[in-house]
Amino acid sequence: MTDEYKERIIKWLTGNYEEEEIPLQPEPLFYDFNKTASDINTYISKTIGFIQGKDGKGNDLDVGFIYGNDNQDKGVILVVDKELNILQVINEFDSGTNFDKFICLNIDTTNGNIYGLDKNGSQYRFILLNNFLIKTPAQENYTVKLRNSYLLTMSFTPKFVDKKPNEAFYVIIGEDEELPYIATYKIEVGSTNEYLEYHYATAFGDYTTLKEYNIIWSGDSYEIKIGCISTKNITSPDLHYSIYYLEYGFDGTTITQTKTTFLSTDYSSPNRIHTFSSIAITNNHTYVAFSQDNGDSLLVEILYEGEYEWEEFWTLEGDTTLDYAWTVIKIKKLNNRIFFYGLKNIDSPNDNTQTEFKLYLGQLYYTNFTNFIYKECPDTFKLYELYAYQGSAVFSINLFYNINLFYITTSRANYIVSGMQIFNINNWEYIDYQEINSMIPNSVWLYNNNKIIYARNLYNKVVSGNTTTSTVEVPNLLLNDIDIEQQDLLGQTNGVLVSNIDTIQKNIYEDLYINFYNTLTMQNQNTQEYIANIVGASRLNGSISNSSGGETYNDVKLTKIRINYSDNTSLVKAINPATRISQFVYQYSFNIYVPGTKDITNIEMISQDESTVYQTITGLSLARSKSYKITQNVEIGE
Amino acid sequence: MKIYINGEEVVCSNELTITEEMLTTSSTILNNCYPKSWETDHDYTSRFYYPKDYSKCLIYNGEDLIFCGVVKNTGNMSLNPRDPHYATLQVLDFKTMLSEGDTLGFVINEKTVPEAIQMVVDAVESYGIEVGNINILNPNEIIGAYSTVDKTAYDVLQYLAEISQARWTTRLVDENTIAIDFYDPTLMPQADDIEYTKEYFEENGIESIEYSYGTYDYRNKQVMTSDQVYGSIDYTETILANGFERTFNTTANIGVIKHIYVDNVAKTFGTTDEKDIGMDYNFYYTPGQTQIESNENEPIISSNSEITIVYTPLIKGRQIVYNTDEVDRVSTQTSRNGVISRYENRNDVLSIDELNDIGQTYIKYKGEAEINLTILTYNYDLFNVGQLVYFNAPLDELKKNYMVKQKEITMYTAKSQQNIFVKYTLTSSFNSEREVNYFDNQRNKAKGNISAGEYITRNVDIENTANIIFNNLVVEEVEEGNILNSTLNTILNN
Repeated sequence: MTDEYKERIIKWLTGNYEEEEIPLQPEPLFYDFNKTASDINTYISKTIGFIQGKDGKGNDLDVGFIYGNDNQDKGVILVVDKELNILQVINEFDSGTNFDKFICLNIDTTNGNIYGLDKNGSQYRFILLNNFLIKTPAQENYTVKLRNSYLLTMSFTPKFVDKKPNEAFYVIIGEDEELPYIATYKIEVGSTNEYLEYHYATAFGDYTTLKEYNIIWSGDSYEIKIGCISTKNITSPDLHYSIYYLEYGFDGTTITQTKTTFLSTDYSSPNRIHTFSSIAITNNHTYVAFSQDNGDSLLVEILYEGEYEWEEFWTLEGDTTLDYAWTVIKIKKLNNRIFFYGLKNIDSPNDNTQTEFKLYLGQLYYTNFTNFIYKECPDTFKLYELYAYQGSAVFSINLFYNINLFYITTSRANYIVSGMQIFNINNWEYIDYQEINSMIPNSVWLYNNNKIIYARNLYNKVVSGNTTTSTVEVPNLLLNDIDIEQQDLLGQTNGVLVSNIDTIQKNIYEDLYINFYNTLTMQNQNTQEYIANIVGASRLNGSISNSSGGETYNDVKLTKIRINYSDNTSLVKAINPATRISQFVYQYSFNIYVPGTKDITNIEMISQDESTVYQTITGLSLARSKSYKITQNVEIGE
Repeated sequence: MKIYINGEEVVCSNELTITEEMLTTSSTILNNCYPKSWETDHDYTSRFYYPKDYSKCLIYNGEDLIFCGVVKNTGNMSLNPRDPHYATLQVLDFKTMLSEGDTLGFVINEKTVPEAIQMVVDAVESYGIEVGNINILNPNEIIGAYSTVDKTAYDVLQYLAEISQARWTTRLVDENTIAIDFYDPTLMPQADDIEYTKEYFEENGIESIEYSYGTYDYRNKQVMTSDQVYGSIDYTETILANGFERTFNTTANIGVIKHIYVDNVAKTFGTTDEKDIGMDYNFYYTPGQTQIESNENEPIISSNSEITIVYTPLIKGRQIVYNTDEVDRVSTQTSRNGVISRYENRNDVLSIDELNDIGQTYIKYKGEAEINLTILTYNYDLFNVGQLVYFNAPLDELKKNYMVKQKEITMYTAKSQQNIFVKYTLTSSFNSEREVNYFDNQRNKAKGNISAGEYITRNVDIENTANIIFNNLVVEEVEEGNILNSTLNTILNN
């Protein structure tokens, strides 16, 4: 057990446990920011996306792939780890045929198979690939197989593809001449596949781009939202450009325009709307991120569509004396949650390529304190490091199972920046502070080489007598063949209760359960023969491991004594909380009076609610009609 | 000889025998055992001696620790008030902890045999176990994934010995430690040859050497059968798809599929185990079954399409191996049919060739008599269990290597004189088991017992204790004048 944990236990017992004020701006749990060189752009000229892999049962893998096209417009797949380090470059199917130009790919969430669209000349093709991120231990390389393909005659430019779970029914979303299009494609058994196209009657409008979509599958029906951004030329009162959000819905047969919203907040001229806007649509809300220059300041903003209106979620205000031209914000959805990165220039030297930037990674999330949690990357970037003549950015977020550790990674030109956020959606998501629930075991963090590699809430917790068993699960697919050098058990406010440094190594055949057995013992060492007090230890253990409110703590703390007399009567009195002698040693001090008519047989030190005896002082040789001062130390050790 | 139990010197009956054997836990019985301190006042009836089970027992010969173990069973204590109250104790050496200690719960994956031994020993090192000499063939070969869930360390070490064709034993290092030794039979430590000379016998305290010549399991004809082996001929079958089913039946059990074609177009295929982990193929099959199934994510194969399957079937196997020289010898000697036949069914082989090879091995090792040597020495320790010894015997049939498979140390004291007799049992057939089970062991070595896609639940326990201690009690009388200052103000309440 950590010193901090032991100190809290002894404070809890002795009535010295104080709840701390929640910090006004608590420190979020971000770790291990890394800026590393990358050669992603050596292989891919135009990146389309990143997809995290799944196994045959739909469980997340710790590998994924970036896909795009090379400078010959041929498809490229880069198998990468969670920090976007390239594990393998794939340019062809296992048959030896080179990939055609990739248009869009997606993953079947139930079995990890990949599907999507490619294009040869002007011919689009619907392709079904294997789950190439799975390989047996005997296989050296990842192998992409073309399981099936179907030529499609399409009237529009596809941009996204999605699949109905457990059915061979696909949706393709795209645009043509500023008209939003949706196609459905059903692969039939024993008959011709069904391909149907739909489009909205009216064009998007000038400079409008399809940015994002969201599908809610519900039984046989489904609902699609399409989000677009339009930068419009506004002539009144002055000429300037502004930004609109356009949203379309599709119910399976008809596309309707559901929203047109003017997003710019300042009309002063000239408003410079940058083209780096991005959209994330969740099941309930829409988020739009963009940057604009209103003449006085640079704003990088994320707007959030609440129930009734757009609200400002995050604003990163730049320095107006600098060149803002390259400031950028990008948001991305993962499992219905929104992550972002932002770049802000901090210096604008004469040599434009030397312009310096700060990078921010974070998550949009309503908390008691802010609407976002983010961290500034300690490294800065020069302009030439961020942009290359060829290549484009990859922004990936990896979530492994329902664990609390997110890898937020972006590649810019020849560099990758990655950071980790530990985010515990049901609990405290910042660094530790002392609360009434601080000692309730809640989560486990695992380390390799002093770096957090796993964070997850407990699989189970059992409080039994004076022992609390806290179990965390590491699925068989994760953390294989690496040394888990440190295992930390954390309480609900993220304080470390136990930090164990025995090395554990697991493999793919093992679903690992790490069980922390925390046992409290209690002993009377006033006497030569030590007397164990299992009842007292159990009460204390139960309260620290299960407490849910101040009342429990108040009931449990040792703040009373019960004096038992020779005539079988007794007297209960309150005593002051113990005073601190050192970090782990406290001292009770109280006076007693021995009546002239009876002796004191023993003195019990008891809980506030008088139900638990923690210590029984016996063997006292006290004279009648006299007063005594009694001091009793209580300490916590191994 | 001195015996200590839980640090207390004890005495027992004059005779004591310690038995050591390759795979068996060494043990001894202490008869009529009681603390030596009782001999001071010769009071054997008012006290009782019954050391608790798992009490530690040390036996010294002079300064040498010759046995270290735990009291396992206690018995034969008389409760007659007039009888001495001592007990008979069974003591097992600490090897018993390999069977009785914690079971294991991890998977050995991508490890060599020496690495696997180390993993097992690491898991039980708190029982005082360490890795000793590992001297096996092909130590760098990676073994198949092996789950140790709910297996004892003993079981897993035995498995590792089998797949590496090795023998294993434990060796007393000191009071706190025993070492695990692994030896291939061909690499076992070689003791000095036994010479058939008067001088050799005298110098080595040899009281006697006897041999026995057994034909208990002799055979000169070996019949080998197996329920399933891979056929030597591949089958080619064509099935017409009906347009609505995804499973297709073959006539024989499928051993391994070589090719599948649909309308002469080659298709991919894999096992259902591979399917479970997400490997994608056009067809799947389960070895040993008569069925293939098409990929459920692909369109169904249309009616009248021809599915051609080329596969190696699993068939019933039978092979017979003769040693004709021996058949003739027995026939000549008996003037009768000289065939001495044994039947073996082996379902652990995969091919007719393997079946035949195993039959040959049986004939080789069971086709001649097994020789056992028994050597008795007096006050002289000649060999250790597991050593190889060459006997330079007066008879040619006996001139060969033997393995020391058992050692019995008998000590007794007569007229204050300590006598130690050691009886060694040596066998000539120490290699037969390894050869007979060669294929099975090799296959187990490569395959392990857990397949891709399977996994076990492994538990790692981290135990922490915090002890809350009440101490340093101080009671001081308060001066009269301070009574009313008592925080409890008890005087007013009483």
